[in-house]
Amino acid sequence: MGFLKIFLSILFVFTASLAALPETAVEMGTRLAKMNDDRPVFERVKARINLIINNSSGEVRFTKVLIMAAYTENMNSPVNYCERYITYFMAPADDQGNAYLSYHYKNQSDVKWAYLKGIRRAKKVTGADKKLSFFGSDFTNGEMGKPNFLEWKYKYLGDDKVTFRGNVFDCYMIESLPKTQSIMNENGCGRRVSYVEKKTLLTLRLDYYDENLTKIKEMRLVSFTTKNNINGQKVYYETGLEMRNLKTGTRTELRFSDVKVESEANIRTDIFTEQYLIQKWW
Amino acid sequence: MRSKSLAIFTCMMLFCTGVAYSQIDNLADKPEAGKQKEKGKDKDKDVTFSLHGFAQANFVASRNSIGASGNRWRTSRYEFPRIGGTLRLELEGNAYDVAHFFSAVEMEYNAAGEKKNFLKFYNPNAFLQYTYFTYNADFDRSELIKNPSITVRETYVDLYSKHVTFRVGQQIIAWGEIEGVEAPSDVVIPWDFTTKSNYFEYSRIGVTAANLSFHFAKQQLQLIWIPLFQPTKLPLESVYHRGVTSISRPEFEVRNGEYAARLSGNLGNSFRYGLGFLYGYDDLPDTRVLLPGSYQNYSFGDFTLPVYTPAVVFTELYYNRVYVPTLDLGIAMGDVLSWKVSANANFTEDFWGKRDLIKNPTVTYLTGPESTNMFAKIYLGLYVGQQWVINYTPPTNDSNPIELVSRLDRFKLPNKQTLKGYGQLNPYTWMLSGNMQRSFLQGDALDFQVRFALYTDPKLWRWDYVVYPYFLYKFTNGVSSALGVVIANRRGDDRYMIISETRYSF
Repeated sequence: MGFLKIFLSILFVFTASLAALPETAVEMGTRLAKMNDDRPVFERVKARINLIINNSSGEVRFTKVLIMAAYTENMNSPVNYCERYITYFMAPADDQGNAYLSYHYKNQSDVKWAYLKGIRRAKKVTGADKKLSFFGSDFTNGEMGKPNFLEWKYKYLGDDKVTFRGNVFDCYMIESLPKTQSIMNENGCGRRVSYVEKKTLLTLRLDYYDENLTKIKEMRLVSFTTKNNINGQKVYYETGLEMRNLKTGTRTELRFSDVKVESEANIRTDIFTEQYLIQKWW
Repeated sequence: MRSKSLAIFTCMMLFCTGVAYSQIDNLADKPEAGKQKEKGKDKDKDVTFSLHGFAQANFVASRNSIGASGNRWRTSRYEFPRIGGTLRLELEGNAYDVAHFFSAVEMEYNAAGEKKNFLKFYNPNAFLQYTYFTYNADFDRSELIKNPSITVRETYVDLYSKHVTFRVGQQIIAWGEIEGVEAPSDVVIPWDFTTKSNYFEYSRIGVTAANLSFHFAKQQLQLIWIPLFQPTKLPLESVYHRGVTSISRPEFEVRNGEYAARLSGNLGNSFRYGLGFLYGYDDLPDTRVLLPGSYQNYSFGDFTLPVYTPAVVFTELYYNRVYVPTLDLGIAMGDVLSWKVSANANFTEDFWGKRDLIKNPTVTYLTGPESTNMFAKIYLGLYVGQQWVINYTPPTNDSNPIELVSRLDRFKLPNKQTLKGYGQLNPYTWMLSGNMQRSFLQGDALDFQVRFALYTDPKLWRWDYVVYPYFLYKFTNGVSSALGVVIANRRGDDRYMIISETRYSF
């Protein structure tokens, strides 16, 4: 009996000491990245998107204007979760009329459609090379969506300060490394370092490294908006991003305007179909 | 004292973090600020109109297949048939989300001039027109017209309800899973083979139609009525080569309308299908050759042989009724590829192939892989297929004088040329069709595209080809320049052109 007591006491002390052990950098990085990934989202968003592509001299080369509607189906279910997007090109004039539809599933391949006014057909878009540029900008296709949390391993690198709109904010520095060589090749990225603001978990800065671990791009948050979603959760929604390509000296701004969310967005859920690629929905 | 300090320190910490927290929140964009303004804007946007379009400078150099010899009109084998400008205006309107209007009108000035005094050949308002050519070109320079032309490319109204869309007016209707020089299931509207542009889609001719679509459960049922038949626009050279004396078109009557229906849709995320049917006219004409003449008696001693001697040859082009079922399949293969099938059967009234001067029915298919990897900035389709002639009749032996003489009557000619024109010289033809597009540089500024189709007989002896490569460079928003080449030789007609188009879109 006495032996059992001693054993239990030792076990208790050992367990307690284990629990009291500080988190490792990997554990903390993974936890923070998970918290960042689980940030609340809006169910419905409607916005005008300006993609401003600047050349290495800093002059605006192309401006693409899209109108976008997004609907997150089953947003409370991690299994059946599906983000639906429909976009319509308003400018430049030679792209005006093109439209794009995509379903981004949590557990299956994305489904995408493009309507190209030149060929008068809605075409199913197969493949999505994540490392290629998004409509000729400094963003890649992979950088436009949320990265798959499970494809990366994380490490907390420490704290740092990042300036956002003239104010300095404390941030967690989190390193993300691709879990496999194929993920690295697919994304064209060997390392990412995110600067996540401690209170809101907004990523204020994100550094991209290529497969040779050379820093190639730097993304900064330019603006965001905040509002409660239909579940009453406060959502921090990025409305402006700037990507600088350190290799080429070019820069792209992605700016959302006229952002409307939830009931204000007034989006019907049946517009995310092929039919609405050629029909006004906004 | 120590606990006091700790309390003060804790308060300071909370205060500081609170400041930081409120600071970043304060830096958020406030959508509420513009809400009232936006509401007002939305109200204004219930009925909207916009004007777009482009102004374009055109330059085309081509090799003239008619040639200089015997041609008083053209002085060189090489010419510049298109030097000038195009202004296209596109007016678009939306009324709430229930109605939509679109009109595209094109004004073109061609300093090189064009022979247009046979315009009614192609004009939808002409029902029966005759234009005579002789075997030597008999037009002269005074026939070249340099006045600007105005063409309505499309004008239609859309009416939308939740599951039904209705489009009425002059419109372009594209069917099928594949697109390119050859797309067997894309049968509804005709092509303009006279187009001298890098933009392949400008070869499509809009037709006046009522187009009703029902959308349900990822499927679409489309019903089309085309009251006014519009044939394919043939190049002058093609008509000239064949010594065509007239082209007759079906009269504008209800009984001469065209009707089409198509059911298409998705079955799951990996399978697409389309089943269509067109009851209409063949967009490419049939040929009727008339040889009015008389029998002349040739005497060989006591023996007299009556031989029919034609006095004149009339070559009439006319359009036959056709029944065209179409089939499309699209099967996703992994994330990057899909497999496509596009097929049609073109049944003419001479189903059993008994009349040489009417096209035999055909069955055409193309199948192959396609990658519409828009995010890789590449579109690639490569299809192989065949066109089979049902109840194929081989051409008669033109070198056999007895056979030649025995067939020379008012309604028949040696039919090798005719069958060649129909593309029915062999029991079947192999086809290889492809389409590749790739974007390069920042902002996808440079675009390369090539469309091609190759045709050959069963023994792979003789090849026909149609190849359209071009580069498009975008300088900045809306300003682009396209430089391309057309290399084509098909069914006895050839086209070789260099085309430059510089455009400002607005």
